[in-house]
Amino acid sequence: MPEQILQVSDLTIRFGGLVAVDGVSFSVPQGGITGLIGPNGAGKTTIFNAVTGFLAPTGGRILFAGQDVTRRKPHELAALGLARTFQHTSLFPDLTVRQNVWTAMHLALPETFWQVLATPPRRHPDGEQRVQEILDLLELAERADQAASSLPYGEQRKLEIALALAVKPRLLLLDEPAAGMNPEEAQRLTETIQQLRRLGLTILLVEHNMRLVMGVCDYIHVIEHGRKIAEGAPSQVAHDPKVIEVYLGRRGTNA
Amino acid sequence: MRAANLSFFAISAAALVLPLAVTNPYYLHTAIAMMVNAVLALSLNFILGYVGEKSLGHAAFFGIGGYTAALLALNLGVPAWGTLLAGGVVSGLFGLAVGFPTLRLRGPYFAIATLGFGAILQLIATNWTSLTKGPMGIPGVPPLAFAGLIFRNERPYYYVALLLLALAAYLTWRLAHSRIGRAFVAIRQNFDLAESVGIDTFRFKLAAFVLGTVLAGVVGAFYAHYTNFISPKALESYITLNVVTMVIIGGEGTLIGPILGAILVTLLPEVLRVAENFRLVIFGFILLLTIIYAPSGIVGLARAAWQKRGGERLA
Amino acid sequence: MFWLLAQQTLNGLVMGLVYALLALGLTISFGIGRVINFAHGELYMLGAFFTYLAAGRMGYLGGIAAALVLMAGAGLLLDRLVLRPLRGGRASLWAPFLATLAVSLIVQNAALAVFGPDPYLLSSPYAYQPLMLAGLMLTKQDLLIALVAGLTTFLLTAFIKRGKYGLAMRAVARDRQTAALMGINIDRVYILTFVLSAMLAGLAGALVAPKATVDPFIGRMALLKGLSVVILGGLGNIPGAIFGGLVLGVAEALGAGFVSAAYKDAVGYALMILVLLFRPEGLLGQRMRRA
Repeated sequence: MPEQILQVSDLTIRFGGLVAVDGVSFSVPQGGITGLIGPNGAGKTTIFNAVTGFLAPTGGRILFAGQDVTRRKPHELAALGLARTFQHTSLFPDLTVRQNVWTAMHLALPETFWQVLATPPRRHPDGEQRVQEILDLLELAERADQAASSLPYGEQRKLEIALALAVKPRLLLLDEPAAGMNPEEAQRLTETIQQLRRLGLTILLVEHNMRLVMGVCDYIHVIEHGRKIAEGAPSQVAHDPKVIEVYLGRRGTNA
Repeated sequence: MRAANLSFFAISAAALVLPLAVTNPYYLHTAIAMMVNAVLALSLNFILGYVGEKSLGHAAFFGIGGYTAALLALNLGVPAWGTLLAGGVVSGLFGLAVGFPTLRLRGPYFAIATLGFGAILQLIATNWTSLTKGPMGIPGVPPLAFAGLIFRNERPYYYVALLLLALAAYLTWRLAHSRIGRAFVAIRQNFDLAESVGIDTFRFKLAAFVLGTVLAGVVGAFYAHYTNFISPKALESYITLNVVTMVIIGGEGTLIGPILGAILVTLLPEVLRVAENFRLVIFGFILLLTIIYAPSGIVGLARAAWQKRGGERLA
Repeated sequence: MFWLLAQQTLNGLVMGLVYALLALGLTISFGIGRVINFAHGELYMLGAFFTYLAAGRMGYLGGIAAALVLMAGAGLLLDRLVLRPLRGGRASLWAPFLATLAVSLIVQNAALAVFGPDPYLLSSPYAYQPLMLAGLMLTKQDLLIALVAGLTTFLLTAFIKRGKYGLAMRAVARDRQTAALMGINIDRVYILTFVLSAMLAGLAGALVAPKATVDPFIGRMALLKGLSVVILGGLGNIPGAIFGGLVLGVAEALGAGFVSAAYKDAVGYALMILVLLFRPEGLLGQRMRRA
């Protein structure tokens, strides 16, 4: 059995009287892509925000690489190797693409206050190389000197993944990366995610684009009304009557 | 790049020889005031410009530096220069005390707390007469001295002010092009994303604020020695507003912007002498129009003009 | 001792109602208009000066009425000329706040240029008429303040809670995009918010002026008082503003009575700082998470 990089047990999140997440447990094995799916408002993003430290859970425990990280701050989690993207496009809008990635390399380039002030300016060839690698990987090299806000939507979302990669993640959490994408863009995104998997990254994907989820995930947890209702391989989940009823069923009527 | 270097050296050389050519003490005084303002503007720029947190009590830190220097020099006989350092340290400690609880919070709490802090300090300076001599202020702050020579006219102060400005500019320049400066900008541009790429936003906000308050304290101490005087007027909110104005009309989050802003804000009253009564009203309008129509200040306007010219050349 | 306590508490409650008026204006401009209005103190100052100017012809109460009309205009101008151009687009969230800073600079110094730095006395027929109330002293002006401020607070709260426009204001406060989708005219809600806010500030100025003096600088203190109250009660929290106002008024009066009159104002700031340190969401606010 592969080592579990992330273990969430009995996670509960309340907002005032409202229970948004109710005793959810799941784990993410090292390597591969795990999916967290469910209809809108099921509590996926809330779980995601608790795991990444943006929201303090009311109860439960989160273990990352064997360490208890419940209620840690986002930047502490990043330092442990947990990187994320956001549901709504989230970049440093006025910086260029390259500057964006440089800024996200924060943890990789430790420089103290005194080093900055007391030693002459120096280059960071390793860092520069890494930035270039990331830009190449996500096919953003040609856009390197453009302002992030001037990129087309699909590339902005790619840049977000680039920023997360700059953190050197042991676990990458993608929050609805296909949100707002047309089928063509979503297809290209699927390829990118497949490519990341080939590089050996572990990914936790929150998504309600079923085609994307079914296409890339190795294992899926299904959330509905803040509870976990099913888990299993994509083919299993797809045939689970409960899932079909609350999720695929609803989707079917929409289509 | 070459041209930039050249003009940098030209300006530096001119700044160095200016006091030799200009002997009119009034002009030298104006130049000193300008540099003091520029240091203040650069010190506020770290937190206001780079990080983007609105600090509205900057005059308080200038005043703390001044009072620290005056009290140490007069009551304990601490030699000048030592008082400059002490002014910076004490001001920085107050900065830490104000920033530590409030910079953790998101929202306008920090802005309101710094505003309230400025008001409290002014009350204390006015009312704690046994320590501060109240509204009349403390006269007789000893002049600075170097190697036994007491500074008796503007010229040596000019050079000290120039040194402080060079220091502030160096700090800004080095930080801006470092991981630390990138972290500052990241916080301003996108707080959540900054956290998620591993930036300890609270620590960097606090660092930017404390650094600025130390610098403001040092220049406040310098000013108390230079004018031989400190009073609660140094803490007044319009001084804070002046400094905020310099940073914004010059261009926040840049090195050159706050300096340009300081020059403008220092010289404008001289130019507007005819309209003495409406001077600050005109100031307010300039600030308002900048915020609405040129939010990146003079530097932003210059950049846009430059790009436009470049674009036409290409076309 | 007991009488001093009771008397100071009563004085404090009267001032507290004025603080509540000030803070209500600030809190709706923050909660609904999303602006910390740094020029709020200047609106208070304008209210006092307008009343002073109009009272010469129309008497004190007529002066207040005229001032309120002018204040509505001031609120309208503030929203249309200064804040509206900064809404939407890529303007930073802070731009409106900085703009009100500039407005404060303009209005304060324009007032200084017009009226000069010396204080003016606004006389009210009620100012020096003492009333005894169960052994406690109160002027008729105090009674007027308590009645008008109390009634205004009550009406405003009812308006926002129940009125048609009040509902729209609350919707915009919660989520302006959804409010727009629901067909609420957001632009009109903003105008209403700043007009009301300016009138509240002006009314506070007009009511207090006869108890003190009027000069171009009274707005600074008013702003700080208002902000202290808003912090005490919780930013954007309407019951909090009323409660905070009363707390501040009483705390100051007791501080002046039992500690030192010189530090009366410091009591308010000290309270504000304590709240910021230990309960930044305000005394009546919901607990918030420290990021």
